[in-house]
Amino acid sequence: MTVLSAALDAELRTLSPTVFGAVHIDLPDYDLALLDGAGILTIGGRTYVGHDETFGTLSEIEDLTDGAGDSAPAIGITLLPASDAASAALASPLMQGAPVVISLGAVSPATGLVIDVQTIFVGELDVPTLYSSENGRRLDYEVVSVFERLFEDDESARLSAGHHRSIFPNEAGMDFVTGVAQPVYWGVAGNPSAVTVYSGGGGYSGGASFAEAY
Amino acid sequence: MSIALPADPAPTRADPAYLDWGGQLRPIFGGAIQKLNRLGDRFALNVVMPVMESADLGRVWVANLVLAQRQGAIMEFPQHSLDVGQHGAPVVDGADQSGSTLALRGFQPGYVVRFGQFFSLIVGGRRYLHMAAADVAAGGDGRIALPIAPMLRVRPGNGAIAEFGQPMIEGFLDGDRLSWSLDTAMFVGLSFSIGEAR
Repeated sequence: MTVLSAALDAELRTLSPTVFGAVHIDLPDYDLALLDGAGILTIGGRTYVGHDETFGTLSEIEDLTDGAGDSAPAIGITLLPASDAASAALASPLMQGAPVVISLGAVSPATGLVIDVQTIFVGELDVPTLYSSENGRRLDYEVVSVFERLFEDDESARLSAGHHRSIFPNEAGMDFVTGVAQPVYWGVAGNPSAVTVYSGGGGYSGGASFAEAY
Repeated sequence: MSIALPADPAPTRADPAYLDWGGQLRPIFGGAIQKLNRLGDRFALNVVMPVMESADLGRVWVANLVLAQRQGAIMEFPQHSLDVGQHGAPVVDGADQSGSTLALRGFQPGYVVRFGQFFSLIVGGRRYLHMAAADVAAGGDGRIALPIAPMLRVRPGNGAIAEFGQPMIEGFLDGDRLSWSLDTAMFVGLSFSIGEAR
């Protein structure tokens, strides 16, 4: 058994299946549904086209790789926008975070009906890069998995007036609190302090205490 | 808007091609080959024109091709020694069709579409070239459910025109550089390639 549905599994085992890739991007004010080849298919009530009149065609999909360490799984997709206006719209900051679904499926060439699709990747648009070159123009999109959100680790949170004000702008309750060990000054390169404290030197206390510990 | 290339003179040589975007999965050790088909199979045409006098024909052809380099070209798709005959005025019968069978109406009753006969569908002002995949005769009402190849790449609306009389290929000229040759005898030599854009 595979993870594919029985119908899709059976179709892919035939001698010459017809396969396609589909990308759906839920842009803030547009529903972009693209196929990897010239054609038009209805998948789950939504019409996918090979060439969108506004946003152009799908050019490439990078290899899907897993993320390791502190990087989330990501995939790159390349669009060939139909116009300069479309590429500007696609590269606008508002598009960041738009949900992306990439799926693979098989279609019956006789009827043009989709047999089934398998979702390969679900993520959101991250960074667009517009490339212009000799005889070409393309828009590369970095699509990251939703796991990317897990890396927002709030390391900058401090018990200080500055941080407090950044969350509650009109709340002055921390402004005159003294004794906050580490105030964070926004927009200042370092933490200005008259006293420099060195620590770490002289911490070695010899073999005696080591023995005592046991 | 694509430029309609002149019908005259006809090319001295034309090499039609079927563009297959799928591929054969061929194991290097001699295992069974699998064929993976994809969407979007379409046609292309390589054309060699006869030498034309620069004075009139050559100039007009070159000018058309220069415009077509930017806007795309429409050209007659040659069907050697095929007498299309009285076919009527076929149009697409019913909206939202897909796949490899196309319902048409408006044929001359009894007209037989030949296996391998080409026709072009006009959808949204753009031509899509297809081929009949069987001999089918029109009924008394002029309707045909025609098996076609490759599968439909668009969904033609009800009443979309099917050009059986003279199929046309519409697409872009291949390459980023259009060139022609002029010689001292005032002749123009031309060859180019049209590939369907979608």
